[in-house]
Amino acid sequence: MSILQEISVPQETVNDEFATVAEKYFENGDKVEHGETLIDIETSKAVVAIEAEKAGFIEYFCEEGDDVSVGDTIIKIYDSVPAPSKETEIEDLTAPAKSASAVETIYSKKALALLSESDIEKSSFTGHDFVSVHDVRALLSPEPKQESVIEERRTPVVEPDIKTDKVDLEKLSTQKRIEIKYLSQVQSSGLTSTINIYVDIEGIFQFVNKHMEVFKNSLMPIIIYETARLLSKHRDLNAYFAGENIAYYKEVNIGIAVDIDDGLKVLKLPGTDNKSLKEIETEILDLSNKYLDRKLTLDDISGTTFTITDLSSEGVDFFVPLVNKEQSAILGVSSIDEKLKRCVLTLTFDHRVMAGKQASIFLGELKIRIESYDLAKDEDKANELLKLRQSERCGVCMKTLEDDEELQGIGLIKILDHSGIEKKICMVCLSRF
Amino acid sequence: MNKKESKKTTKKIDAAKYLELIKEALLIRRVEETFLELFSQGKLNGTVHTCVGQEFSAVAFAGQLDENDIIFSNHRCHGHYISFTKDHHGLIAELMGKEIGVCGGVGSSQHLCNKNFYSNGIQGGIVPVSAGMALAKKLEKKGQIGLVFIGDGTLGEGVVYETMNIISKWEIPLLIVCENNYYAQSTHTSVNLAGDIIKRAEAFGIKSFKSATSEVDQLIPNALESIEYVRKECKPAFHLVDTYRLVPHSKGDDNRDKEEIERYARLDPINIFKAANPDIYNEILTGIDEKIKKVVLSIEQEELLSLEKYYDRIVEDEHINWEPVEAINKRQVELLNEFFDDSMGADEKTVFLGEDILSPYGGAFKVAKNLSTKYPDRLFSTPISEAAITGIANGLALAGFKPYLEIMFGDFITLSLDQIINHASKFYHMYLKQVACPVVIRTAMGGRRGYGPTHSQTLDKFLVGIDNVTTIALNTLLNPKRISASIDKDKHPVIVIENKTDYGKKIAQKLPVNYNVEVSDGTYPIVRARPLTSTPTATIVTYGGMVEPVFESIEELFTELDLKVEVIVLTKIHPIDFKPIMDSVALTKKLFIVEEGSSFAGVGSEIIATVSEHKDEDIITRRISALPVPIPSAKQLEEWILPNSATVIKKIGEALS
Repeated sequence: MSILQEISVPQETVNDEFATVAEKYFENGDKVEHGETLIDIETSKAVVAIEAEKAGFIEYFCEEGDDVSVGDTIIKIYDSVPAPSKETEIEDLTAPAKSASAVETIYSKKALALLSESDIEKSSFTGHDFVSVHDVRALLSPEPKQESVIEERRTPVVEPDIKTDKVDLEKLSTQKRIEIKYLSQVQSSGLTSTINIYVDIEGIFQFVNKHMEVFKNSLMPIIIYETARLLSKHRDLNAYFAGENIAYYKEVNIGIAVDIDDGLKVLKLPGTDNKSLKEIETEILDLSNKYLDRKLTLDDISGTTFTITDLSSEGVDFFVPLVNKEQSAILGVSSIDEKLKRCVLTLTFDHRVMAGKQASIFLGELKIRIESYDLAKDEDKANELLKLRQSERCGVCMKTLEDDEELQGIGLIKILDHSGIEKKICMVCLSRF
Repeated sequence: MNKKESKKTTKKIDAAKYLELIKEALLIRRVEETFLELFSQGKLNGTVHTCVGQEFSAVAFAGQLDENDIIFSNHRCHGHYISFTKDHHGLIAELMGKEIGVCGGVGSSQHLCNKNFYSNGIQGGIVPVSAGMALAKKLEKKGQIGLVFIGDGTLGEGVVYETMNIISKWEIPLLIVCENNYYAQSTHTSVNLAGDIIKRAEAFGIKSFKSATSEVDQLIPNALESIEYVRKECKPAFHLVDTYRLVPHSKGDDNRDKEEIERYARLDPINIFKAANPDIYNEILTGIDEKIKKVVLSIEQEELLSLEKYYDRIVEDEHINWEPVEAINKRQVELLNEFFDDSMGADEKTVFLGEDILSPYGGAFKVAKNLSTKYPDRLFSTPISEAAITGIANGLALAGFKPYLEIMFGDFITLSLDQIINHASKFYHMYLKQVACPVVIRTAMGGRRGYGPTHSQTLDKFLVGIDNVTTIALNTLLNPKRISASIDKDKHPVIVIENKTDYGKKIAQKLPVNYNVEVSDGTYPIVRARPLTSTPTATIVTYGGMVEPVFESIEELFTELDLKVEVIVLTKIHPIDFKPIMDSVALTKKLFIVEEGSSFAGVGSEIIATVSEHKDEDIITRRISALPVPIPSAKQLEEWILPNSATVIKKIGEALS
């Protein structure tokens, strides 16, 4: 009997340490054919079906519901019916210890002790080789000298005293546990802050409804569109805290938090800052359909750099969104107050990456940009502006006309600044004066 | 009949020939007397040992050799030099310390080198070296021989007899000329010498000859006969020459009876010639003296050798490229054996010497397995004579061969130290870079086998800091073939320390988890193990057999002490490439050296001293090493004394608490 194929838990996303066995399709000893699905593994992002690459006889090394670590062998396919499982270890002397691949984080004893006292999840250190007590402290407090602050911040973990006669215990789903893990990374620092701003929506929907085919009476497309453009200017919001560094993303991939029937998912709009309004609308539609049809690929839901969450359809007046892992901010969109013709935009941000002022400037600019869509209703003015379109940059926000193609008729206009020098400015920026 | 007659005729020296010999002998005497004058004028460096009264030994032996033969002389070498090279100018300039001197003034009176002429001031040690050179001549099969001059004093050196045994057994064409002037410096042979000199050689089965400088008529043909015997038979010979030194050994150390000196002065061939032919003598003398005077005057104008031409600074590589270490599923000893098999196959100048290395035994650790069957002419299984075989290896190296000498246990290398320190180390510089000595001496060190005090010690501290000698410690992270390839190309002496517990291990098998283990691209590579992503917080420098214990300590050093250790594994422990160490310590401010020998005056001390000299900030340092007692055989005791991974963790913990 020899092994034809050995299947281990795949590394579907860089940071997954474990996955859950969702479903096994065969019994041990069954004959399987090439291409048949053998097992479903639920990772943080999606359910992954693993297929046989060889025909043969199967042996599983896991049970449904098991949490299995990445790299663990879960299935072997043999050329004959396998004898009851007997692990045979073959020492491979030619291969050096697998140091470079699969990093299994090693924690020092003091680090583990401090971790258990704090509310930091081990997942905050995914991808690290060694986590010392200093590393944990650094995460608790980026400025190493604030030792006293760390002491105050420590919240003793109270073991929940669960009386099973009074409650029914239901195990958290893998997805929920992963969600907690992801949201803990930034929030557990306790260094997030939230700011709000009102956006006057008077007249905006005339523009929206004229140009959008599906998303009538929705602010989302223009919020996404404008946020994407602002993010390339405000790098701190398209970044994340990485120990002693700030990691700045080189792309703008806005994620849209969606939770319809199948749990919370963040759908990615890749290269959002290069997309037109129409393209954004189309992509949201495509992703939503995939979500509903459960056909999202791993790529559709990973690699987002900033998240926008919209609870406006839920009648929420105001809420505090939570920053996703490896991001520095999240934008929340609340319901429209029909009486006052306004809605609340909320920005939660990681204070380790930026201060309130930078976040406020971003949110202020976003408000102005969105409100400027009101201009579009004055068609005469718009046509006039169209004539002034030039393929040059706005002297204030540095946008080119290509960036603003979708604004239909809004171009750059010449102005004289206070020192009498002629400049060009876009309508959005002009409206701020 | 004819043969006999011709032999007889060679014994006679005609008048013309005799005059030539007198001229040469007188030149030697006058040059040496000039040295004594110059010395008293303060124009010479150091001291001089003259051979006044012994000149005809030089004329008879050195003067009758072929220029392609090898000659090795001792501290009293001026006469031998002039007779062999006919170069009194270079000799005078040498003693006057000038750049145009035969060795740039570095060697002066006792350390000369000119083509095939060598001399060294170490008694005894020159004998195996000359044997090695003569062995080289034998291997080259060109009919050339070696000749070594020793004195009665040298007969007290054991290495002379180790060498006699070997040259006789291996039939090495070496003529040992023993000039018996009855005094070892100021001590008469009656005080120091037991038994019979000639019988010593005969006991080894070496053909012996006897002559005296006072009987030139017999000395000259006898000398030639012994030279031709060695050449034709390709066997060694021993020629005892009775002679007498008419002047002090050096200066101010002569307490001999004046009447004795005068008695010998009357037997001196030059004095006899002078008395018999005063006019001719004076004519020759005037000619010689004028010649010497001119030479001295011109040499006085010459320059001294500059420091730059003598001393080469060691320059370290500034740019190091790192690449992952390569695991090899072969034992270290197999790879070493393959290396020697390959290099002996590829290069006829490669020779392998060592004790007990004949197949099927193949050496105590089997490095030489099967080599004796494949290369019977170039593998020399030697007697137990570490000093002599090291000297022979040195001689082979000087003569253009690449000798690999195996010293069975590292502890025995102390017996080779004279050859390493006074010969191999010094040849290149003292002979002003005219020759190099690319000898390689390999030996197995290290404990953990229960072999006890004289078969377990790590003596590397005695083998580092030797000028011009590179010291290498193999480890189980690197293919020994890669290191050996560099050793093979090295033109200077290399000592290779192997660890007896590492021979059976395969290469780069046990690497620390979450570490990048990389090797530098230098001639003698350095291994650096650093955490995959973390910045290291402590530096450990180690080498040889301590690599595995250090690697075993890495995880616990982290989990217990929160230390993210960078390990630097040296291959070359002398001279040390400090850059990777300096770079690491600049980050970590903590430097720990782990060595298997005891720490005092060892490699660790030198690393810490050097790093301290170059770093201003405070650095925590510790040497982690064996306890300073001989290694016991009892297993548990040995374990307590040698450092292991637990010692590493404990000592570092103490250093940081």
